[in-house]
Amino acid sequence: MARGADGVAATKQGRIAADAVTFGSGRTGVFACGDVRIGSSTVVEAVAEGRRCSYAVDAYLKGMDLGEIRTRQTLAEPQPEFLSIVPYTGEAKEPRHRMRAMPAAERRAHYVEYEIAYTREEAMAESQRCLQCTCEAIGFCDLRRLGIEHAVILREPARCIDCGRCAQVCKEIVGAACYDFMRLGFDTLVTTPLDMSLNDTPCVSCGRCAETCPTGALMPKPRILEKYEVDESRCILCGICVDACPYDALRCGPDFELASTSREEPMIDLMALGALERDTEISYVQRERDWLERAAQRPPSDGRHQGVTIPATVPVLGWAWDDLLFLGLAGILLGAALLVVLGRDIIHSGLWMMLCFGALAGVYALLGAPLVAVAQVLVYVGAISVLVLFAIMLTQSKAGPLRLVFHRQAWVAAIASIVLFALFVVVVAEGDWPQRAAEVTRTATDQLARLLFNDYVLPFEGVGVLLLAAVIGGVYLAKRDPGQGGSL
Amino acid sequence: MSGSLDAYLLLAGALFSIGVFGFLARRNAIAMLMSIELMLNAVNLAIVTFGAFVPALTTHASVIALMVMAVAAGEATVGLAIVIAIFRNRRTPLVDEYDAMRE
Repeated sequence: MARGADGVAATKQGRIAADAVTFGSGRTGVFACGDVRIGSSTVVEAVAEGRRCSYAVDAYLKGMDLGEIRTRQTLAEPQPEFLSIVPYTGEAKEPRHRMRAMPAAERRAHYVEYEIAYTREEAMAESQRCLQCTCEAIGFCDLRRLGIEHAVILREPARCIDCGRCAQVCKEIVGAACYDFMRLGFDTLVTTPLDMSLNDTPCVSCGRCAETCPTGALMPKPRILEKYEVDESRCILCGICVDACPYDALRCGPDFELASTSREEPMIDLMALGALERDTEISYVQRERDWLERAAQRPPSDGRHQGVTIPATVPVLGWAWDDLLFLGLAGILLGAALLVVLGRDIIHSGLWMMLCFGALAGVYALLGAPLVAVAQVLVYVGAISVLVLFAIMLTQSKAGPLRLVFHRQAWVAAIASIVLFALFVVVVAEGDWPQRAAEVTRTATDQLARLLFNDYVLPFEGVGVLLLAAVIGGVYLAKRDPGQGGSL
Repeated sequence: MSGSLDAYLLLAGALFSIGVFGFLARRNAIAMLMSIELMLNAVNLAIVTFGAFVPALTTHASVIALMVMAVAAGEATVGLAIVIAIFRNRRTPLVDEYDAMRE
């Protein structure tokens, strides 16, 4: 005993300490079961121990890993056979094996037992026949079908024996507390609070109440559930499913729930993506080739669609564009002004004046005064020039263009104006202007309007009155006197 | 060049000088009025130039230029009406034949 018992430990009660699942004692190959392990108990328990221990010994002798079996059994043991109590299996019920009997004519003559006993085979078959003893209509009970109140749980209160197991499971394991004891004494019932519908309770449809119900008062609704489809594209990883799942089928992983998905990953509609035709390297290359072919077939661009790129300076001369514009406009302006004063034909002078005013409008725009430029075009080019041209045509003498355009002292006027221009040049050159080469400041039209109608509102109105007076005066002056003749 | 005050002022001065010459030398009254318009435009150009180069004057210069335009329009109206009225009496637009004051 002393040698062979190495490693076999004893409990405080003097029994052999052995595992409850594998029945292995501390020493490999030594098993203990029955009363020597658990102490005196019922015969049934002892027999069950022996049977389970024999399985363990069998596995050990076959060389299996007992630790794995232990794990498996631990996992398997608390799992009820959930699907086995689904009432309707679809299998045809076996007919009852009726006992044969003597013919009536034979048995009326004596008192020998008229039924002929089962043979061994018949007895075995009859003993294994499922009696489906719950209900004859099980699986197709109209009452139950009509009484369905919940999508998953079938309740049949008539079968309830008020054991309260459902209430205990629901409250302590699931945490929903859909059932409870109602009323007192002999009237005690186990039902939902206030007998409300199960749909109104916080039922999570786990089915544990149906599992634990010993009588079938609560039963899982028959249904075929092959697989849940989790649309991960819609999952916001709230974790509520993890909290609700009574079987820990959904777990928080090492990082987070549903550890295969993390918040950092973009939410991708996997199903939508699966339907897409994805680009492969071949399709990329093909698309690039198509694009190049189309580009080759495309007519040479006229530059409209791609935008004209303006060089920073005038291409040949190397000037800034503003300088070119200024020189061009100034040339047109001065040339047209000279033609106005020097031209022999007064009508041509009027037309050159229009060009001069137009060029001046361009200079205004160059100076960043767009409203003044527009007003220049409207007032001078549009109104005053037309007025002048009308006046010219009204006063044109029949002799045609005059031969003597200028006064006889025109050379004095030329000298005077040249001297005046020289004076301007000197003043401009010698003048101490502070902003001699500053940046041109653009005039904001809205500010101009505010200024015009706030600070300058009185001069503005005055100008309006002046224009009215000018119009009336012009009409009065040009009006033909009634008694006066004349062709005009 | 376009960024310098001097160029614009010289341009305005040249325009004004041309206008002065036209006003003094032309015989036709309407040509004289056109020369006056040239001078007014030269002044306007100077005003807008100063407005563009002196930030404190920017919007003020535009307002003044607009008013000068309005006044010039009124002046052109009245001036041309006078020319037409005189022409109706004297049948000539040439100012050196307007010698009514001489007699």
